[in-house]
Amino acid sequence: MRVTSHLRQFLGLSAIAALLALSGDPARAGKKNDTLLWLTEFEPPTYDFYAQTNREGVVLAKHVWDTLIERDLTTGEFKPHLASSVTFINPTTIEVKLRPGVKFHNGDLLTADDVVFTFNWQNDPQNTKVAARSRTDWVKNAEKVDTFTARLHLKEPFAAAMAFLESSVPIFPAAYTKAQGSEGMSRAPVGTGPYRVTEVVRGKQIVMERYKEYFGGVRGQAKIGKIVMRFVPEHNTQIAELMAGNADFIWRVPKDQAEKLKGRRGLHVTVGDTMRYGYLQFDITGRPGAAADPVRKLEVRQAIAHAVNRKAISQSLQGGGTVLDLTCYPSQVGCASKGAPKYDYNPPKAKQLLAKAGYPNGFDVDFYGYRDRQLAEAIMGDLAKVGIRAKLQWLQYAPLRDKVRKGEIPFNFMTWGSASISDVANSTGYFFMKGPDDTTQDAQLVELLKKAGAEVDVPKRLAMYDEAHALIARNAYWVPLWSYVYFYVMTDELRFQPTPDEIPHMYRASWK
Amino acid sequence: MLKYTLHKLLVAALVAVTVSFVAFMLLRVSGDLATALGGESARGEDIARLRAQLGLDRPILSQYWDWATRAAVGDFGRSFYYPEPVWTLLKERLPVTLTLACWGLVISLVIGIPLGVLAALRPNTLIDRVAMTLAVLGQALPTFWLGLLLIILFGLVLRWLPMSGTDTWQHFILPSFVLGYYSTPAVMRLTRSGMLEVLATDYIRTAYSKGLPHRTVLFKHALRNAVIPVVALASVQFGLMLSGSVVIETVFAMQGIGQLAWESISRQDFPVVQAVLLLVSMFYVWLTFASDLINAWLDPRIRTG
Repeated sequence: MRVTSHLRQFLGLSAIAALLALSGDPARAGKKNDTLLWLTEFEPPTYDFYAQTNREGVVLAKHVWDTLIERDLTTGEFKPHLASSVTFINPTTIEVKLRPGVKFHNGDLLTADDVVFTFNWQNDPQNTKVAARSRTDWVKNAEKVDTFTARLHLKEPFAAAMAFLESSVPIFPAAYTKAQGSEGMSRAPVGTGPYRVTEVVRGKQIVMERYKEYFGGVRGQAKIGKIVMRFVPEHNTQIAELMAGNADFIWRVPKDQAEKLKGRRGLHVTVGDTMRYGYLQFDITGRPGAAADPVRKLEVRQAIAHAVNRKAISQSLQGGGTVLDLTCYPSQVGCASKGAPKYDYNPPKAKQLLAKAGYPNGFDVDFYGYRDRQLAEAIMGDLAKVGIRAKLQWLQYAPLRDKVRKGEIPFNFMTWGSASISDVANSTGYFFMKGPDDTTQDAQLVELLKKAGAEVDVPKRLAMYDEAHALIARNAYWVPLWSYVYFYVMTDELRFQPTPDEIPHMYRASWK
Repeated sequence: MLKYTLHKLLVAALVAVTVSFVAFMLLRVSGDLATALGGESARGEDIARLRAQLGLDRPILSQYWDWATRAAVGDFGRSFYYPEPVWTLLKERLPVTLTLACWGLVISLVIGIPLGVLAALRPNTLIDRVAMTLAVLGQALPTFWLGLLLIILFGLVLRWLPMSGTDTWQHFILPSFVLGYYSTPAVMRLTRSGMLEVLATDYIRTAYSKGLPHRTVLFKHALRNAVIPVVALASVQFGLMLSGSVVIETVFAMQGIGQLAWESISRQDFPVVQAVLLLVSMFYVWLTFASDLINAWLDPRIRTG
């Protein structure tokens, strides 16, 4: 019964080829019924947003609940959404004034009580259902000022607060959540969002209908009347359902399969960047456990940066993606640097640098990875061309991360999604701050990032991140590689624009 | 018979303990569970909290003892991923898998026995070879691939059957066929060899010499004896169907314990994986135990031997 993943992939592709050869044009019902049928791999463990971290759960949250502020997906600007204003009244206090007249799906009026409850409940140690405390624990406590005003008291100055408010803190209805608990919220989710949940069939699907009394805000009114998200774990089955007209939208389709569907009548394939990026990480700390490896020499790291043809690998194996120069995704707040050197693909220069470092004939090194083996092997191929003989060590994510944290790994290929938080505080500001994942432990950098993280004056903060990125790039602490892409396949009757936050915002989608 | 039954019960209990112990240890040596569960965005303090909350900071033997004593009374703990007790998840998912396994078994018998009879009636002929090829093909084809091909043919091209889900009985036709077809060769071969053996016996020759019609001799006298071992095999095959449903349930998007196991392995939701392993192995143990008892009841030489 068991076949290798390569054989499985080959057979899957051959089944798709047969599917394309045998199938006719699908007869779709989505547009006619104003119902978007969306197939996805995983069902969230619970529909209570705060009790899970599953991607589908995050996606659903954007449709069912609202956040105080919202990022304008066109301009990238943060704008008040549920709130009419969100302001720092001092470095550790944020005042939130709510938009009056917003109603939850059950008819409850949105007030400051809901904002206060959401923060305090998520930060309550007695609430054991919370899956990721870091979404809200930067707030010490929240207090009500009047019916439509609340104050958030922060533990310490936290400049990325806006990004967190936008992505990680949907506002829950206090009375309903208190009465129903996490389980009740999962059975019948209630929010203020553009879609209200009308049916939850565990193990099968969740059904949402356009909320007619939606206040609009930055997201605007939803255009499609009904969305059915159905859970089908196998991509090939999803494609077959799409081909048969039993589905309108699938996502995260493997590149090979998506390419076979391109140009197919009735279907549209699109590719979109995501905030997730790949990077090469070096342990240069010299802490106990970290071996005295060649990668501790600056010239070696710079040679590696010049040796890997990032653009070619990303284009040929991923089918897209943005080549990165910094340790963050370009649209994240603070992801810029004028002074950071760029490392172009230049094998002769890489060889020179290796010779300068004392390795004219290259060296052997263990190279660790946990996903996208094809990409890892392509990197190794490029390294071999300049004499670096990398030996691939393939591990699961958890043991690999453990080893990185213990300083047992000199050189590894990792990826990071920033939890979809559009601020470098959750990328550069996380990895180089002396935490367990910081494999550089550069005191100057730590100090700089600490200051930037607490600086609420935006231009000052951006200047600090600029300097930090330049420092990282000069020392080649990481080799940032590329952003990852998603392939989306849909009926050609659907108008849909992907965004890098790995969230298909279906309230923006419409029928053609 | 009582001594025999007690002996078999003891063996069954030992198998259960061994399977659960080995599974528990193997699952826990595959990496730090708290890091895996916390996921990429979990900070160091989140992971430490998770480790303490789940009792993963205690010695592994103590963890196993706690789990085993609770499992013995049907408490498999809570899922790390779903906010529910494991037993609730199993109860929700088991009917789908049992239905699928039952239909798979029926299909395997319906295909395997006639093919075996046909092959035995014309041994070493073209018919025998075709029957054998048809049966062996079922085992040779990867089940997920056969499933996809059937989805394409019956779901997409002919539009006769639904492709995924468990809403109606029609949803079970394709996955049951794939599952049943996979275990056809064993049934077919056993039927064939049983029939060949029985057809060569004196009582069959006597039946023919009495002038009984061919059909009566074949079905009433020969087949009834030849399929006795097949009945014993069927119980083991049923266990195989339960474990074999992992791939099929995933392809056909059926929310059974197979899919639950597959998801739980990828999420490192060990309480669920552990419970599914124990449940499936217990099915095996009990089915083998039942078939041993039936055989012993049918053949006194087994229970006195």
